[in-house]
Amino acid sequence: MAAPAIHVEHLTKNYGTVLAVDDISFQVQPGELVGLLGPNGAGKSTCMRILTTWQPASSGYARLAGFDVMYQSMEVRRRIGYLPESVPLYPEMRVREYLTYRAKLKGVDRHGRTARIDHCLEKCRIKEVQNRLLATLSKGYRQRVGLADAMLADPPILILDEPTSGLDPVQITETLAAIKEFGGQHTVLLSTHILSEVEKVCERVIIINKGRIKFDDTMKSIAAREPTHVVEVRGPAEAVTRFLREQPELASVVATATDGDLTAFELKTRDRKDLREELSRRIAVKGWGIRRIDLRRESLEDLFTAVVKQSESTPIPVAPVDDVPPVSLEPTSTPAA
Amino acid sequence: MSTTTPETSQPDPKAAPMLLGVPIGSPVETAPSAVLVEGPTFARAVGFLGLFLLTLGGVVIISTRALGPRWVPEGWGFLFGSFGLALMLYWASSDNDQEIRRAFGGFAAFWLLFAVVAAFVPGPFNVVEKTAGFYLLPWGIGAAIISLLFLVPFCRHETDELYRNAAVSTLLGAGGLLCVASVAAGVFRPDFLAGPGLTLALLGLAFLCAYLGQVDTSDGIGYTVAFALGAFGAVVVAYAVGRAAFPTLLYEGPSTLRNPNGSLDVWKTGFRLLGGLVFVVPAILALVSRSPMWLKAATGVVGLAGAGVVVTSLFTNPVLTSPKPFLVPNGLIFIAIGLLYMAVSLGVCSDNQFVTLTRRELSAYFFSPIGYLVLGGMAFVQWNQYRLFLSTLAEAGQQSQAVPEPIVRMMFLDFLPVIALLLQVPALTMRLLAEERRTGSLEVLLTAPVNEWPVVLSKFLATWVFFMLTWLPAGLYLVALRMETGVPFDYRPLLSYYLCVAAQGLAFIGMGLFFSTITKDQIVAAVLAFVGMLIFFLFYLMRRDQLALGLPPVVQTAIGRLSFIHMWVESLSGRLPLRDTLLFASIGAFWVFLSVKVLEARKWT
Repeated sequence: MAAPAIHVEHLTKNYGTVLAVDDISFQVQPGELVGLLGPNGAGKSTCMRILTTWQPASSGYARLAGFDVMYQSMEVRRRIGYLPESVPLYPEMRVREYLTYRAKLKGVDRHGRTARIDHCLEKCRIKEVQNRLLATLSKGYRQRVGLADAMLADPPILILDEPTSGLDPVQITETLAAIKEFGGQHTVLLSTHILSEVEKVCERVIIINKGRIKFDDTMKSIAAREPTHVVEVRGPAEAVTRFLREQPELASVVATATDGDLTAFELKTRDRKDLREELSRRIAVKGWGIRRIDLRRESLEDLFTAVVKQSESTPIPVAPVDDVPPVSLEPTSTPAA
Repeated sequence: MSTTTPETSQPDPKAAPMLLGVPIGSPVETAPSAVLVEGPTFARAVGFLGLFLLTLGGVVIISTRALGPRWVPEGWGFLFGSFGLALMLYWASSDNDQEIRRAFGGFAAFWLLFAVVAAFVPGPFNVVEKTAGFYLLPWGIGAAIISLLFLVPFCRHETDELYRNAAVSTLLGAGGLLCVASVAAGVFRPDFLAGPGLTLALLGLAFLCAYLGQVDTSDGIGYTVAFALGAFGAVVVAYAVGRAAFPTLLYEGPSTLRNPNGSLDVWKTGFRLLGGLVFVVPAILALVSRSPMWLKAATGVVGLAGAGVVVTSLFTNPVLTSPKPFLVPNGLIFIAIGLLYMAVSLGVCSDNQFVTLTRRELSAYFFSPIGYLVLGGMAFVQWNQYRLFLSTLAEAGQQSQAVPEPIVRMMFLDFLPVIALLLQVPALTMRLLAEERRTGSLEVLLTAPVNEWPVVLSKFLATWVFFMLTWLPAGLYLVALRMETGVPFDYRPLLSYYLCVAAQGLAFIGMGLFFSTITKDQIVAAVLAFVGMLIFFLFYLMRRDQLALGLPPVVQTAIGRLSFIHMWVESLSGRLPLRDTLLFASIGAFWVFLSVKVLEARKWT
């Protein structure tokens, strides 16, 4: 297998006594589009700052395109495009002027520079504002200028910190489309706390919370997870429950809500078959009314909520001081498929 | 949130192709809030007021010249005229209308024609007494500047290719012609250079800069022109240095290398060989490094010439007559012009990170109010000094007292310039790195493949250049005085004073830069820099009043050397305090080094 584009090993970062990133490890292969998902304060921005060589880690290693972020930081910086969360731009410059300046800094060759800038302006749909002062642009446009800046030198790795924060729904869709287009040939690591974006764009999801990776899997395997049958039946509760428990194909029957004679069930099958028609026939034969029969796949939101709720019960990790015993470790990520 | 598998159905073949639910190809989002063009009404009103003032000024000037003093003095006429032109320039840059902008194009062409005529024709009045070029200064050059100012908005707004190309080519032609002609005239007529020659060279540069602003300079003819400008500047510098050094070397020959008793003077020989090395070392460096071919060729030629001359001078002296002094002032002026051309060319052509960063930093001063405020304040302070200086001279003249040379010291050794310096340094340096830290743009800057050294040095250099620019008005006032009165005075203390200010600027700007690096808040940086300047002022007071403050005498002497005002006094008396210059320069280097380390410290764990 080719060298991973991003290789993070036991990365830890503490700001004084606050442990922002606690022993995270993951790999991103070249061409992958990975979403780093997590609630606010989870450590996403810190992780990205370490990967872009802006800050050093307290311990652990990170390698981008084979180069270590600490010892070969210049090589790393030549191969990344970074968009921080607060898109900082020089307010007195114009869009085109700013992009020309950044292109010169990043070493874009003089001969094709104008063409490259035009290309990025079109890709990010900021061609119509190319002569406006950066101070006069709205948040959406500033973000797009930042994105154009990040992709200006055609870097193999793109690291985007909340690229759609503050945008309206239309702009979000268009920005995500641009990012998705950029993936494939390039590696993209984007961080966000909006699940729908990750679902739309990313191939792989890493959920991080309180500095630790809680989940690391591809969207395909999430979709391939076993679905749950959701059934609402009108009938005597115990009888229905007993009947369902008797069905051989069902592995588990859980009654979730009762409203008079209307009971809702969540059923898990033994094999991955769609039993909706079969079940509905059997229940109808018994004479009970079927209010609802549905196949619910485990969504990212469910996963995310589960992960976050689970870790809310554990105490916040603190950097180990000499005579304080370390916090109990909880199970970490499922390995990537 | 969709939690059910969607119903499968046949896709509608006529539906638009979708990407992420958004139809491709349809304009989903339009441009941001339409920029409501203000309408040219205001600009036109202002412009017409300007036209009125210009006409009024013109009438005043013409009538004063033709009929003698009127009740509006001529100076006011010039004031009205300049103000009127400024207002008209505002109109020209705001108004896009075809007729208006073509009218302004014609206006610019008129002034250009007027400039050419004024430069060559002695004029319709009293032809016998005047030679060609009598009206060059100030009418010719003034008219040329006006035409340049009005050509730029015309080029920017004009959409018709024919007219635009004509205007842009005029800029190029005028600029190139002025640059070459002024240098050539300066070579063949040395007296021409110091006044009109320098002005014409700068004017040519201004035309070329305007041209380069209108074309794409990353490729094509724009790049070639900028490159040619730099090459021309390099030739001028090489010529000036050669002409200053070589005849003297060849005249002195080997005989001056010997002591009176006949033995070889080691120091003088050493210095001469060192001088030869100055030519040869760049050539060697260019040869071994990966520089482009033209650089190797150029430095090679220069190195060979220099080495050849030095070696010849060690054995014979072919030049028998004592060479005329060339370095001051003509040599220096040539070197200044050449270096300026090279600097502009470097700024435009070079893709070097340091050059790019410096260019951006320098332009940032001209895009924010602080640059103009500091420049205006310093110009005002220096105007005040000039006014007092003139009144002192006038008084001495009335009482028939001789004012001892160097008279220029009266311009600078005063209360107000010191206060101005104390305030100007924090004002210029406070935002340098503090603002970048606060907005987060430092993060974006240092995650690009840029090291900390170019970042800090570029800010340092740009601020220092702007600092030197704010001290320019004093020199311009003195030049104007020299031209108006025609009475020569010793200007060399002015040169040593500028060198002194340059070196002190390195130290002060470095200190301000360091304080800006350590904090996010600009105010804190400004206050710290001001306190630092006050400490330097305290050093002056300690030396002047012999304050011991309980310190041992060694420390007192050291502090005394750091008194910047005593250094001013020394340089304005005509001595060049080289040792103090180096001291302040090294202090500046120290502050810069500290600033870089502070930036690098974020990576120390």
